[in-house]
Parts: sequence; structure tokens; C-alpha cells
Amino acid sequence: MAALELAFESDSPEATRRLGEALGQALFPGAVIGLRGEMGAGKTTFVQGLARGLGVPGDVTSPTFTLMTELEGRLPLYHFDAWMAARETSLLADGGAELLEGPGVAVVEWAERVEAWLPAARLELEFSHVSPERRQIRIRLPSEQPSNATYRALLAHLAALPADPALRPLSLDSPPER
Amino acid sequence: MPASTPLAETGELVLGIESSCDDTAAAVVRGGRQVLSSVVRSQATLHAPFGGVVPEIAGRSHLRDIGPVIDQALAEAGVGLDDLDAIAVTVRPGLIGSLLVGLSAAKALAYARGLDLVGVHHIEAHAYAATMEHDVVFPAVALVVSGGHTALYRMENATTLELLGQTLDDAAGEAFDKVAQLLGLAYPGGPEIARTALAGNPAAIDFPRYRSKGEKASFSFSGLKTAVLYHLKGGDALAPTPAPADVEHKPDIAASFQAAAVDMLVRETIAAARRADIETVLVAGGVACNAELRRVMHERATADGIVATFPSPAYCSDNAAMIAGLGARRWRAGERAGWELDALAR
Repeated sequence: MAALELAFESDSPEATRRLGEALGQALFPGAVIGLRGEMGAGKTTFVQGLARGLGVPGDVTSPTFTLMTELEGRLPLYHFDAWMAARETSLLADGGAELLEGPGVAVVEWAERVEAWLPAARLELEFSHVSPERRQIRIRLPSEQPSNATYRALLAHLAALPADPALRPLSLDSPPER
Repeated sequence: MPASTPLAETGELVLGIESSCDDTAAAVVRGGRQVLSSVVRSQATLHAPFGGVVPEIAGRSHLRDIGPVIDQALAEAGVGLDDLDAIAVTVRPGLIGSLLVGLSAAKALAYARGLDLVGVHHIEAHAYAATMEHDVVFPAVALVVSGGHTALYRMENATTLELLGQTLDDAAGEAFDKVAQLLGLAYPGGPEIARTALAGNPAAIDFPRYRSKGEKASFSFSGLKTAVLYHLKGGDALAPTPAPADVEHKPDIAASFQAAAVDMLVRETIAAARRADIETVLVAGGVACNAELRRVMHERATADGIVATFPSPAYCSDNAAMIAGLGARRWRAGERAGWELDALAR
């Protein structure tokens, strides 16, 4: 049973990157982050911040076509994209899945399309459109797992972020405001 | 010797091998420009049911096709392996499992016949392709635009590229694919969008155009893609996305999207050329097949006193003639790869 743990409303792509950066700073080897949400909801933008938090130099672009991009930071960052689900499944079956338990951090865009390949213990973020600029970002552990403790520490880290007017914590039950 | 001078028929003879994505290709080129044969075996029909290239299928079909495709290229050129001076092969970027098939074949042939081996960068070869059929005045600004890449380079000559800037998020071809999916059009999206756009009004919807700030060139297609999504939602971010079958006015959406994407590509390219006082623009890569991009680029370049050059469609999409051509130039410059030559995804 998935328990909702945290939610934010982001006012801008840069605020979404700041959330990613804060998470990136706290990530540990072997961490797996699934990203859900439709086109343009902020998944790649979030990964740009995550990479910044991991100290990855240079630009982060969409890996839709290349299926996976490996980036070098404080930890290696494996950036997967499952928009083309059959392609990504094939990559994972061809050995790509080994990177999910490797020495680096794996972040998977369109995670719902390759869910069967992802470890049960992971962090999952769901992005949704609120307005052309604003996004709601819900962060949760998809299932109760003995190995969730490290992910709970990540959630605690995000819950304790300094106040950011463009990145507001939401009460978990509130529907998005019009 | 100026880059534009075709070499005599005594120029070096190079076999090119290309297998970075879903096409298996081999070609024989003399003197870097004269294409004696160019064979491309497309796997598109194998991948179409999956909505994209499936690496496992790509690797297997490369393995099946690589031998026959090389044989055919040699036969059509009327040459044998022992006539060759070198073998050029794509080593990056691409799908590793696909690249390795071409690279292994190239190494095996070069080793067995005592031929030189040259590794070629796929993107640099696309830019070089624009110089193979036309006499080009350098320096030039090259736009390489495809499903996986959207980047601008400064070219001092046909073989030297310096990155000026690239997309900050999605490649242009990826935006075409994603919008095509929203409209229920087939993969790959570029030709389908172009075909649908023919019946539409490009001024029907004023989609936003990203503009780079300052002196550094850059592209962004994520905002345009999202703007199309909002348009389909009727401007309401919280509304559900309609099923493709329920989308109305598809030709107008396709035409307006294409106009915005083309406008961004052209504007940024011309601006980069003007900043550097460069009078030649080269456009290459799969999206360079797009007729609207060709039309608008020619029109605006001409207005600015710039000459825009596109390869013919056969050399826009993946092919091995461009690999053999650039490989020949590198070989002539003394470049030789060792047996440790490896494939790289990026």
C-alpha cells in the first residue's frame, strides 16, 4: 500500500530543479528514483536539478532517444527514459537493469511503463500540471519494504528543506488549486 | 588543396560501415567524395510495431545483415577488399549493442586483410555529408538535427567541428515524435507531421518559440511540446489529455507545430552564422529531410546573404557514405585506429 509522504507545489522550472538538487545532494549509491507524469510535467527538469545536486558538470538533456544516459558526478547518475516502453524494456533486459543496483544513482523517467523492472524499494515522484508554470510534485515510497529506511531518510531531508516561496509544501489531502 | 576540389579517380578508396542505430549500412567512397556505392538496409519495418527502435532487435538484425550489406557495397562499387586503402566505421554515439556489430566487422576485415582502420564520430559524419555533394565555402555553421541530436557547430573545414551550442532538453526529432504520438500519428513522427501539415494552416495556432539569450547558441523544444499538450487540453492544465482519435484540427496543429519548430531551428542557425560573420550554413541529420525546414532555411539565409546547403535526402538519414567520406579525409590526414578502438554510447 503506497503511503503518500510529501508533496510540493513548484512555481517554476527552476524551483523544480532546486527540489531535484536538494535530493541529489542526499542520494546514496544504489538509489533508484522513479518519475511519473505526462509530457511536459517536469521530469527532465527535475533530473537537471538532481544532476546539479550530484555535482554533474554540463547539460542534462532528454534521453528519450538514447534510452539511457550515464553522467559522472559525486556518484554516477544513470538517467533512463521509458517513453518508448518496448525499447526501454529491451535495454533493461539486455543488461541495463544491472545499473539499477549498481554503484550509482538510477533515475527513470516514465517509470510506470517499466514498473516491473524497478526494485520495490525506491523513491517515486509524480509530477502533474497545475498551470502552464506550476507543477504539483508528490513524493512517496511505493510499497512498504524492510530496506526503505534509507529512502525515509531522504524524505526527512526533503521535509526539512528551508522555506522556499516558489516551492511550497502541500498538505497531502488537498486537491490542486485552480 | 581546397576542400571543394573533388579528388581524381586515383583518390583513396575507403569502405564505410555504419550501424549506430537501426540501419545497417556500408558504402565505398573514393577520394572522400565520390560515392561508388551506398547500401542502407533499414530495419524500420521490424521496429514499427514497437513504436521505436528496439535495441535487442537492432543488434540481432545488424548481425544478420552486416555481412551481406558489406558484400553488396563492394559488389556495386566493383571493388574487392584488397583494393581498399582503409575501413572507416562509426564508433560513437549510438546504441552500444548496434555499434559493436559494425565495429567488430570492421576490425575483423581490417585485421584479416591488413587494412588501416579509422573510427568516425557519427555526428561529425552527418555534418561532413553536407560537404560531399556541394562545393562549400568555409568556415561554415552546421546544424545537425535528428531524433537524438540538435546541435550547432562551427566548421573550419570539412573535418574540424567545434560545438557552438545544443538543445537544453529535447532533440527536435524527439519533439516531432512526441507531438505525433499526441495526434495519433505513426512513428517516426517527422514525416507524418510533415504530411499532415500539408493540409493545415501554419498560422492557426501561435505556439511559443524559445529564443536563446546572449551570445551562446542553444535550443529548447520541451516548451513547444508542452504548449501543444496544453492546446489539446483546451488551455486547461488540469483537464485530461484527449485520446488521439478525439483530437480535432490535426492538420492545423501539425502545421503550426512544425512552423514553430522550423522557425526556432532556422533563427538560431542564422543568428549563429551572423554573429560569427559566416556566410555558409550546412544542415544535416534526419530532420534535414523536412521540406519546410529546407524551404524556410533557404529563404531566410538568402535574405541575409548566406548560402544554405542540405545533403540530398539519401545522405540526411543514416548512411555509410558519409562515414567512408569523413574516414577517407581522416585517413589522408594520417589518422589510424588501433585494435583497442572501442564503441561509445555518447
